[in-house]
Amino acid sequence: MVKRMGGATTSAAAAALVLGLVATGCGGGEGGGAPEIRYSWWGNAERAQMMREAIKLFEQEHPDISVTPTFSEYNTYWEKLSTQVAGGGMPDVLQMDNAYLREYSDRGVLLDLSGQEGRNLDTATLLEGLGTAGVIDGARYGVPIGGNTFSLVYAPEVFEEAGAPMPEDGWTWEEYDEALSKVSAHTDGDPYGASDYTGLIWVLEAQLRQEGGALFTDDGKLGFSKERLAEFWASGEDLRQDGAVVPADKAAQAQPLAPLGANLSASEFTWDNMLTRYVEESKLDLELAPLPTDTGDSGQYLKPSMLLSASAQTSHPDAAAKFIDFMINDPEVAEIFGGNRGIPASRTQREAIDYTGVDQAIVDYEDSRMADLQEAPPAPPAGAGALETEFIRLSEEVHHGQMSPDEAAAEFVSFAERTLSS
Amino acid sequence: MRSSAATRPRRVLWHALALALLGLIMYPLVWVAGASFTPTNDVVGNTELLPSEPVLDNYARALEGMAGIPVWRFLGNSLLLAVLTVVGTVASSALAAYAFARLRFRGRNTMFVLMIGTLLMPFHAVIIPQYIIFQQLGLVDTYIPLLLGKFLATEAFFVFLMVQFMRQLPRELDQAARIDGCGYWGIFWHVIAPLSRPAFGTAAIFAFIWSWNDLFAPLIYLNTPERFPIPLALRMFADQTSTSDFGAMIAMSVIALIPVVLFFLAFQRLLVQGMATSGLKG
Repeated sequence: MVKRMGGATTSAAAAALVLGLVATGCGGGEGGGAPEIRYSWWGNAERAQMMREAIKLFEQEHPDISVTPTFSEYNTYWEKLSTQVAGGGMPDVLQMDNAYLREYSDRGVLLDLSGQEGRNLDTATLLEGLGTAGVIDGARYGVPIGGNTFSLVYAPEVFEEAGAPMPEDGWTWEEYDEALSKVSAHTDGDPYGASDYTGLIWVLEAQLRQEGGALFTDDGKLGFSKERLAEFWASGEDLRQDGAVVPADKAAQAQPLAPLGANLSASEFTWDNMLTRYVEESKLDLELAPLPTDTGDSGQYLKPSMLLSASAQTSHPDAAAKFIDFMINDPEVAEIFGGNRGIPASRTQREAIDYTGVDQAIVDYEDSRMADLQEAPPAPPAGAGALETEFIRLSEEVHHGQMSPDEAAAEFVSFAERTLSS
Repeated sequence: MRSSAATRPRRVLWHALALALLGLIMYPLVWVAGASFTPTNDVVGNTELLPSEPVLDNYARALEGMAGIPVWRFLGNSLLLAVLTVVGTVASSALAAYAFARLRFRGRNTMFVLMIGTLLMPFHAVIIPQYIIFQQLGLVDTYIPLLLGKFLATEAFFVFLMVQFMRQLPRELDQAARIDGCGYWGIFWHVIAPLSRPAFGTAAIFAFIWSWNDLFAPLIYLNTPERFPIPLALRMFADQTSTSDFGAMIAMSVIALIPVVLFFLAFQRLLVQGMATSGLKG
């Protein structure tokens, strides 16, 4: 059954095309007049309200520039953006995800903002670990709005009651696994010690970084072997059999909530800004903890949570740069958003916020880890998003016992080779 | 004797089965209605049909709308789009169908096949060329890209539906009308159109529902939040990268459901009639 409208009839399309060519003939070229920039972002309704306030503020300070907002939810945002890029209707300033940055910059549709730095755009205010985020081969295609760190969220009370090893700097993976078994045994699975952490590509990345490796090599190839991946997936086998982690079927039933949010588990590896969400969802008292490590290195780094990019086709690059600068540096903007965009990436904004409980906990955590944080890896290669999806699918197969870790690892590596080389 | 003794349990069984089926079909709807009164944090993973402590917060937040735009605005936009879509689709499809069903002209069969061919073309294949055309015309962020096609009978499904319906109408009626002095237009207006009402009704209901539920085309073509229809607004309550408000989303879904149900109830008579008569009554 066809539910959508079909194509325009041939003649109508032809007529419109002719008109279209005529229209292009007269448009474009001047670029003068009062700059009007279109700004597009993803996020929830709450963020939309905050953005409008921030835009109003910007227009007060720059009466010569007007900003037209448009927004949608994360998935639909990318569908819309890819159509706009193909059709030439890209917004002037847009919110960008680190995972997609290289894909869009490789296609040449993002503006290199390095010419604006020091003129309309101040990037010297960015936190040390984030200074080079958004820069690819010397060209600045994005400016980070916020940063976050991969971390462990856990419920101290549950761990304590079970007599489990408590997280501390430099605790090992073995100790963490032991803690999970103790928690699950003590509570009889209500809640489990953790969700099955071998389902997260970011845990693998943390382990690789602790060993001195990386998820991707500098030239955009896979940074680990089939054997290493099989070992990673196999490392969860004992935990699954002991019932130390949330069983795969229970985790699937809880979706779209993560097991921690659905009160199924007492800990979860995640980005530290997600604490905000879990605190709201879970009945347990939650805190952030350092990652377990076998080498003494935490492997943690500041990752840009969101970036702002400009379109290469914009006719107002100066106005776009001024707007980006305002959004990442202005203290009042930071006050409007609080923790909604993650913890700000610039020192000017980071210091401006009176953080509320959870956000303060995240800032404290990042500050306490700051000395340990390593340099961020370069922006992931195009196709990294697809790899993450495939990783999740295959690890679910492993968790359900449909595939052995070896089989799944072989399939992932061949998928990665196909995806990254194309 | 034997037969009545046998029919009774059979009838009971029949009704029991029908009720069980009804329960199965109604379950999601009842769940949605129940969940709209459940505190938002308990919505996901909740299998209870009716909340133990019903709350109205979800509706309060849904009615607030978002980013300072009241929910009525989104509903109004959706209604405007849906009504214009129904008018455009029914009027243009009816004329196109009349031509295919009754008029003889060169290339009719080829054009008919081409039209059916567009049924097979996925929307995603034409979206980028269409977007480029509307972008060049400066019509992006207006309702024109969403409506123009509807007024040009591009919904091949409805044209096909009406062609099939009109072909069943006896040609003798056309001939009688011609003797009475009707031209092509008169035959359409006085004979074919009134008799095709059930087909128009079916098309109207489907056009309304599809337009009401359409997310993709408004997503691509509309930029200004004030012009968003309700499906776009609904999406905003569940963003995976920030906190999701499932309660408000479900409450708004229930609100969004009401006009569709009302429209269906109003036109359902025609739909049933169309199926029951599928042609002419003496």
